[in-house]
Formats: sequence, structure tokens, C-alpha cells
Amino acid sequence: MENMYVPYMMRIEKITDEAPDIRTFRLKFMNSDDEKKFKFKAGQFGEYSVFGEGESTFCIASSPTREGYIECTFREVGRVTSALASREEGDIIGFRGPYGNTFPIDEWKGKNLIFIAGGIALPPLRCVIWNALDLRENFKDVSIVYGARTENDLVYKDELKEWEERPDVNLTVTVDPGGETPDWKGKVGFVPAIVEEIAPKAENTIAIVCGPPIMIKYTMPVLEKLGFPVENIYTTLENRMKCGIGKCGHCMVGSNYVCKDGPVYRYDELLALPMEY
Amino acid sequence: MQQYKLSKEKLPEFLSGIIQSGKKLYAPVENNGSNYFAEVKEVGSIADVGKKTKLSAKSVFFPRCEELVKFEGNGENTKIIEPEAAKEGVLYGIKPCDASGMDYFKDFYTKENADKLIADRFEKTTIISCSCNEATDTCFCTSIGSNPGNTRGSDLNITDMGDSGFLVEVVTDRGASLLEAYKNIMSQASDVDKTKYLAEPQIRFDINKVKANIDKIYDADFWQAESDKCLSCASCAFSCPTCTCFDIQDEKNPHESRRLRLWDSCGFDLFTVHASGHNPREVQTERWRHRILHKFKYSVDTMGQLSCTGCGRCIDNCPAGMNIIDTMIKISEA
Repeated sequence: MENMYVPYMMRIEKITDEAPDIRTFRLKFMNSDDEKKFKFKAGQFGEYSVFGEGESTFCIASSPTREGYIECTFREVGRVTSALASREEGDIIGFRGPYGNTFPIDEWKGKNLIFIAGGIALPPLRCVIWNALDLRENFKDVSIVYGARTENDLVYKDELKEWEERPDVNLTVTVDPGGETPDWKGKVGFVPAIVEEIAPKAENTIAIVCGPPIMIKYTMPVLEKLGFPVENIYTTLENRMKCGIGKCGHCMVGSNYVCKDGPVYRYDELLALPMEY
Repeated sequence: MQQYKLSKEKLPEFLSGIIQSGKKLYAPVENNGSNYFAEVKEVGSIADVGKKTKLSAKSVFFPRCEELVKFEGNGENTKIIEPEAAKEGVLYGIKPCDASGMDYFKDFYTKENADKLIADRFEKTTIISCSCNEATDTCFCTSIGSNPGNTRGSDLNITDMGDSGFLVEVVTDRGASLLEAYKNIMSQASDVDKTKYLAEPQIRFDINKVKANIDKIYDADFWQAESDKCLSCASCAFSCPTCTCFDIQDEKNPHESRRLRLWDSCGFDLFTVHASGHNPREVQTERWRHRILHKFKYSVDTMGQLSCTGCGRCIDNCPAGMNIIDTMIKISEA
């Protein structure tokens, strides 16, 4: 039996500053055997740690199709994320994972995909976006709607440009009213309103939604109004977690351990849970 | 099931034999007027096992604070050091309610995503429960379908038969092998019925009605009144034999750092709060409801068993006088 709390040792290969207080780490396994054995799928997460400071839960933000490394994107808010943010390229941190269930991307073959994300919730979708784009021929239209409070708060600015330029991706970027500069060429408005405005067709389309609770709350009714059946809408929950393996109890929603039974939920599954997320 | 009679004079010989054999012996020890489970080095320091301990015996398997891993050195020279394996031990003087709680605990921590540290302690610990001759007014094991002589979770069960000595019941093979060396101080007692020596705690609510109603009381009005007094102190969770929740925190020292597991409780507001400040269980009423539903619904959904043993410690230790029995009556009458 293994001690599941022993982390992998990871080297920070690359640090990207995304937005104020938000960074992306590209991590490589120190031990090549660990790297060979490590497999994950889109939607999974892990526990990232600074030894002596603690562990924090973030999704794996890179795609499983990009092998040899994993990436995480996090906002500096507390003790652990501050310690992480003070690390430099070349430094060593800990990682446990992958944990949780996955987006059923294989079941989405032949369908249109629309990704809807708000703020710091693009990272969990970025994993599945790249996964889908790396297998582009498996899907029909791929659309992305992404919103943040201000232009400055948008993450993955280089990738947004890349998606914008790709003819096989329909990207819509929006900022909250007042969050735009005079040069802003994207939309201005909250994510639910923008989704309503661009009105993606519901037929043969899977919607993958991730954002703050308030965005989810107002986006779901819009999708339902556009004719999306609840079975075609997916989201990923981000409850507080400590262990990641269904033991510590923090992430429980009803009988569900979000870390083990989630974090990916189909909307009808989410509706069956108490509103404790 | 084999059973033996042990005279009152010979019990210390049995227990000191365990200590002498090199096993750790955990038993109730008095501290400041209350009994707690602790390791004992001599039989004389064992407190009256008839008295309910203030806290459950879970700390033997799930210490209040324990090291999960230790980090020595820095940077790429960081060495990750795992804790030492547990030692063989015997847990004596645990009540049948507590022993069944430990069985739940073992199922929870060893069946799926097994926890190496906790599983190791269960693997190496023989549990000797002592039936209850008396119940307190907060005991309600009979209300949840158990009884004061229940052997679930025990390897051996001892019943005090007054002047007739002790009845030692063999429950598992592990119990039988512990007893092997002491058979010479015991006599066969196959025809003895322990029932008449057991306490008879009153049935306080109808568990079948609770089970019948449990799916329809999530939005009931009574949660507010039932939880108004709650101070969010977690005395209930910390004294509960089936509360399994924990926190993970790091401790930093100049030469080594430790990653610690510490008891935690869904009763604390910080237990669920997100980094954004959003809290899925914002108020105490929601937290109390989660605790009760975990015991009587969620653990049934996930593990097929209730996670309340009827020990009543949450009532004994609540500084605000909250009473789970009242909540159960409300649910059964809903």
C-alpha cells in the first residue's frame, strides 16, 4: 500500500505571468519513471505544494495530448499560493494527482463544442479546449466564449490571439462593462448576456461551462432557453479540497465527494445535488 | 463463537501479559475527572472501563495530529520521509458503540483509496470491547439498531458478570490468537448468556421512521431551531467515533518541514469556504444539517451504513446543550 500523501517532486520549467496575481507554471517530473507512469485526462486536478507551506488544489490546465509536462494556473490569494508565486524557474515544488473524473471527450465525437468560461475558470477549460483542438477532426464547430472583469484580467492572452486567428475556432472575448480600454476590440458585457447575444445553436452541441457561481447561475438558464438539453451541458466544480481522494470531507456536496465523484458534472447530475457548491 | 470465563482476579494478569509481550496497550486513563484513551505501561493506571470515555477511541487509529510526510533539506536535495510503521497493539476497554464506530472508520479508510497510515494501525491493533452494564441518559445505541453487548468491530468482547467474573467472547481469529496464550487462566463458558448483564438504554426515536423520512427533510423548517444554539466549536465532531474529516497543514522548521493531518469538522465555517470567499455552507444551520445528513443519509448512500453509533458523546460534550436525539425525533416525526 502506498502513502497517497507523498508528492511527486516537480521542477518549474517555465513561469508565465498571465494577469495581475495570476501565473502559470509549466512543471516537469524530477524522476523520469514518475513521468513515464503519469497519465491524466482532461478535467482532472492535483494538489500542488511548497514544502513547509502547504498544498493547494488546482486543475491541470495543460492538455493530456501535450506530453512531458503539466501546467497549472493559479491566483495568489493565501499562504500556499503566495509561497508558490514566490518560486522561480528551476525551483522544486510538490504535486499529487491526477485526481477526480474527466470530461467524456470521446463521447463528444462528431459534435459541436462551445466552451463558456469566466475569469480564472478558463484554466480548467483550457485543458479540454487544447485536447479538442489537438484532435480537431473529431469535432464540428468549436466555439469559445470567455469573459473577465477587465482586459488586464484576461488569462492566456497569447493563446486567445492564437484561437482568434484560427479559422476553425470561433472565439468571443468579453469584459465586464467598464473593464475595457479605448482600443478594446472584443465585446463588453457579462458572459450570460454575451452567450444570449451570440446564441449558439443547441442542436448537436455540447456546452462546457466553468466560472464563478454567479456566472454559472445566470448562464445555465440562457443555455436552456437556447434549447440545450441539460444532458448536453457540462461544468466542473471547484469546492475546497484538502486530500483530493474522498477522505478529508471538505468538498462534500450531499453524498458526493467533488474530488472523487467530480469535479466534472453533467448539468442534470448537478441539479440532483444540494446547492452546496 | 467460543467464549470463556475469566475471574476478576485474573484480568490484570491477562492485561499485564499483553504489555509484557511487547504490544502497546491502549486503555481508558483518568485525567482531570474524565477518562481518555491512552497508552498504558502498567495495568494499575487503567481507569474504570464502565465509565464512558470523554472522547472516542478513534485517536488510536486517527491521531488528533499526525505527520503524513516530512521534508528534509532544500531544493532538489529535498528528501521526502514517510512516517514509521505502526507497532502491534491492543485496544482495551472500548465500548461496543465505539467499537462499531471503529469498524465504520476502518471501512471508510481502508476500502477505497486506502490510507496507508490508518490501515496499518487497524491491521496491527486487536480490539477488546467491554459491554455496558449501565447506560447513561445520553446513550441511544438501541435507537439506531445496536445494543450494549454488540460485538461489531471487536476482536474480543468482555462482559462483566458481577460476582461470576468476566465473560470473554471470541469474535475474530485475531481475537482468538491473542487469547491463545492465556487460555490457562480461563475456563470454558459455552452456555453463558450475557444478555441479562447488559444495560437497557431506552429507545428514544424510531430509526425506521428516520430512514423513511430522511430524503424529504432537506428543506424542513426544524433545522433552524435545532441549530440556533450551535457555537461551531466542533466538540461533537472531535468526540465522535465516526467523524473522519481532517485538514492538512504544513509546519515549517529551519531544517525540516512536516505535512500534518489534523482533525477538522464540517461544523467550522472555514471548512468549506472557497479561495474567492464564497462559502457553499454559509450558515450554521446548513452545517448542522450536513453533519446530521452525513450520519444518517450520505454514509448510507456511499457505504451502506449509518455513521452514528448512538454513543451520545456529542450530547455530553456540547457546551450549548444541543441534542442529536431531539433532531432525530424531529426527523422521525416529519
